[in-house]
Amino acid sequence: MTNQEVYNYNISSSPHVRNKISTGSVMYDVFIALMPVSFIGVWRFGFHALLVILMSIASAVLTEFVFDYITGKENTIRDGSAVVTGLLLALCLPAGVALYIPYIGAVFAILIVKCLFGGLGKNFINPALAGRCFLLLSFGGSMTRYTIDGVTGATPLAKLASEGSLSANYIVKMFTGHAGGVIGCSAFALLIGGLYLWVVDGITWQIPVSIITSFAVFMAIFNPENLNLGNLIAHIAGGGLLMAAFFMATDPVTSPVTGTGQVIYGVCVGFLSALFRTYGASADSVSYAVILSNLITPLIDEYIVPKPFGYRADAMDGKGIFELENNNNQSGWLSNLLSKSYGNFIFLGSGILIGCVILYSVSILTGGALEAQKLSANLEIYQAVLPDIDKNNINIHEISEIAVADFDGVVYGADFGNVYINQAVTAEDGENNLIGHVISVTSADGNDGNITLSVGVLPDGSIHAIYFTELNETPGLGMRAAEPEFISQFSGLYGHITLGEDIDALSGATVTSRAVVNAVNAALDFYNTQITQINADGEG
Amino acid sequence: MDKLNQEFNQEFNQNGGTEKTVTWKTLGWILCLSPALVASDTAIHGLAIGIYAFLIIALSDGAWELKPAALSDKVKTPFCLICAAFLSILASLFSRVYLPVLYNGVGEYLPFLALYCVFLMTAFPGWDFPKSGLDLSNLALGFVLLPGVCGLCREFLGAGTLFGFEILPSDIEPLAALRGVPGAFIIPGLLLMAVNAFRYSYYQENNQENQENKTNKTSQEAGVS
Amino acid sequence: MTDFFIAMIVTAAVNYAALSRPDGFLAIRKQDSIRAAISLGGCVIIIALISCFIAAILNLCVLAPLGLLDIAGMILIPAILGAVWLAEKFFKNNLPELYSKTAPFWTLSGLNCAVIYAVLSINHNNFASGIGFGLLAAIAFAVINILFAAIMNKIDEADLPESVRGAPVILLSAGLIAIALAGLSGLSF
Repeated sequence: MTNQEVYNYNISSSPHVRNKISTGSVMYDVFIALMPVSFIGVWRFGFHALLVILMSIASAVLTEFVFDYITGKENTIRDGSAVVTGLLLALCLPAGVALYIPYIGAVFAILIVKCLFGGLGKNFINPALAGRCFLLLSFGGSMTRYTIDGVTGATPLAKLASEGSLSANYIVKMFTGHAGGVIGCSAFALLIGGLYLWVVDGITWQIPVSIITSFAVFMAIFNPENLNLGNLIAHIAGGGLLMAAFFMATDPVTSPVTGTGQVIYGVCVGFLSALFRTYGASADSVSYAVILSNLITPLIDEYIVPKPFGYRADAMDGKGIFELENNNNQSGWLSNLLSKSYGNFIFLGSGILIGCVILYSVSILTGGALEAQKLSANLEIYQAVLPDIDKNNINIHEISEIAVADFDGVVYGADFGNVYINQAVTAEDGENNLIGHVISVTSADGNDGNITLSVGVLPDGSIHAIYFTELNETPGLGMRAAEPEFISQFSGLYGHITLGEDIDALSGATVTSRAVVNAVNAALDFYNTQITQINADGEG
Repeated sequence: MDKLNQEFNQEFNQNGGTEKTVTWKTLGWILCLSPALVASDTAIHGLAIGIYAFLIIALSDGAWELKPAALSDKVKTPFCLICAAFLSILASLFSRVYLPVLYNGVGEYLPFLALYCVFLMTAFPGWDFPKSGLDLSNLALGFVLLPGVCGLCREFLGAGTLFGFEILPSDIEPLAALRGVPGAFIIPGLLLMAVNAFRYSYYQENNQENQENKTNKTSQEAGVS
Repeated sequence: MTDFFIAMIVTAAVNYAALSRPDGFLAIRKQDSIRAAISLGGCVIIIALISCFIAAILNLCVLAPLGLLDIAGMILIPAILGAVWLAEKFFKNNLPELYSKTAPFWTLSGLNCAVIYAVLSINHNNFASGIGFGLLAAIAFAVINILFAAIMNKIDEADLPESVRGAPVILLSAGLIAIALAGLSGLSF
């Protein structure tokens, strides 16, 4: 049989028997199990939460209906899986989101994650969580704004991170759903639902138990502060872990079939959740952990179910990558060259050499024009950060007395995090009067990468302005650092700047704000130590 | 691809419609040029990387066609690799200075583009250097079109701008995930799916017309076509 | 930077998935696909070690002092190629069993050093970090390819809608994997 013909047969790998209780009854049980959480969520967060839930369920069902209609398949909304996916997605959203967010999330989850891969039972990652992660990546701001009674507040985990520990009172609130969070945040209701689901054989015990225990163990390993029981319980009760453990990770389609496989899967989820929660910077750690583990499930299913005896793949024959040694016999000088054993080498090697020579010359030729462009770009920066610069009448030179190369690649100072000084120049006008200094500094502590900015320092030590040359933060959050409202706060400051007192942080972008302030402080410190010393030496 | 796909291509070839197959084939071959898909964040980036891809492939394959006869076919891989590397670095050096509109944002992907172009030229089955001018122009169209259209979609849905101009009003939030790495694969996937759906519906219409026309053939032959 | 890394690895996985389809260049049978992915991973790790070593030496001793970093690609790509060829010769002659098991992938992994080149293109200040990143990239590539092979096996069992078969399903699943990997992008130790 050729490969083509083999491909036409529906060969499926083991396991061939999946645990298929009637889909409808399992979905019904899950729906019932989610009722306590939904009720408490709606009761706590108000009518808008109910709208979010209804919108999500409605769009999920509608999408599946439309898809089945267009492709001519039989209608599958009766089995209730779309309803459950919609409900799960809604329970993962903050209560105050605009209504198009659950709509887009549900359409993505049902259409792209489930329907396009073949419908029920054929998706390879959890649709609700994939939808949630898609929404997190798309609408960063709206998805992280949690409101209680109309007031934006911090989630319990954010409080834990900033305060170090939570009061017992607060932890009890987390259980009853009075603390902030997503709609489905009441830990108590989730536990009840999970227990119900286990009792009616909707889920097996291996996955939730292994997830929770491995999560607890790894949280303790990664951060010994978590050995405090209160902290551990807070971590387990918050952040969507219980929801994932009981309802998301247990989805029979995307979790392994055998018990052993499920335990491995659960340990993987717990490990990744703990890893992301301790070291990660995304808004949600458990969702990513679960979908990453979903990717491992097919592999687990391949190997944990024992293979029949005697299975062995035959050795595959080798196509050599390329033959560079030659055995031809032809006339002509080129053929003679190529017919030698290493002729191809010589041919290709000379090609490489000629190529290098040509490219080197091109790079030198264009280097001049490139330098001119860089210079004019720099001039724009200087104009932005220093006052009254006349382009033609300006004298920029590197401060020769400091070897900035000493600071190249080395973290500057100890209190500023990962900042690097890139360049420091003096700007003087045509009559050699000092206009000011421009220090270019990079902070690697930005949320999404490096933040590079130039600080213009006047001769009296105060900042005139700052200008961002590299800012790749989250649009709508960290990118607002480049807006004039934020930048103008820096003008006129000197000495040491404190976040919160001298500068208002960007709401929702504390990492970015802190990185920017540290960078500016480093630049000022550089100015105060290195540059003024030179001036003092010069004068003295 | 599917049997349906093969029959479709055969039918088109018989009817002299080679121009369509080259364009639509390249849409599938673009799968090998994944850096092009990742790099097409915006419409301009997509067009730029499409232009670079076409240039690298056309010139490298053209150089291989003009090779001295003594070179054996097995040296195609290193030869094309060196050509592609050379061309990509030349293109990046040149456009960095003189064509910054094509280089910004796309420049870091050029070396990878070279390596993946070599993939397409040497390892992909059914690749033939286009022999006629029409084929070449269709190849160019195909290579520029897919990343360009993907870039357009990603830019519009993911950032609300078109060629740099803000189109969506500022209170509608765009889907930023489609602008980043996930969108680099989801959008081309959906586009190729749409192209496939269109192709199959066209083929089935064509098929029905042929069946009506071939009244003189036996029922077996009509059933096969 | 992590985004770039993830993007490059997922593109390489997409490439491999496309070429390993039954009508592709490698034409791997379905039951061999995971084994083939493991072999590919092993290949790429070996090649990564060799080529990162060579590239680190070239970068630090030849290119940086001479100021040739702009055209580094022109030198590094043939260097990777040479490393792959030498390694293949060595394996063919001295370890024929291992070679026959991993044979079809030398071509692919040689060219797939695009992934490794992604790491090489970052200028590392010291030897160790260059090789470390290269190894990390190769291991990540191997893991993603194995997972992707298993996932494609599962997808091929299903009754996909007609228009999604072939290229689109590979791209869509790569997109979902990219969403999953986005969680790794904020890690900082």
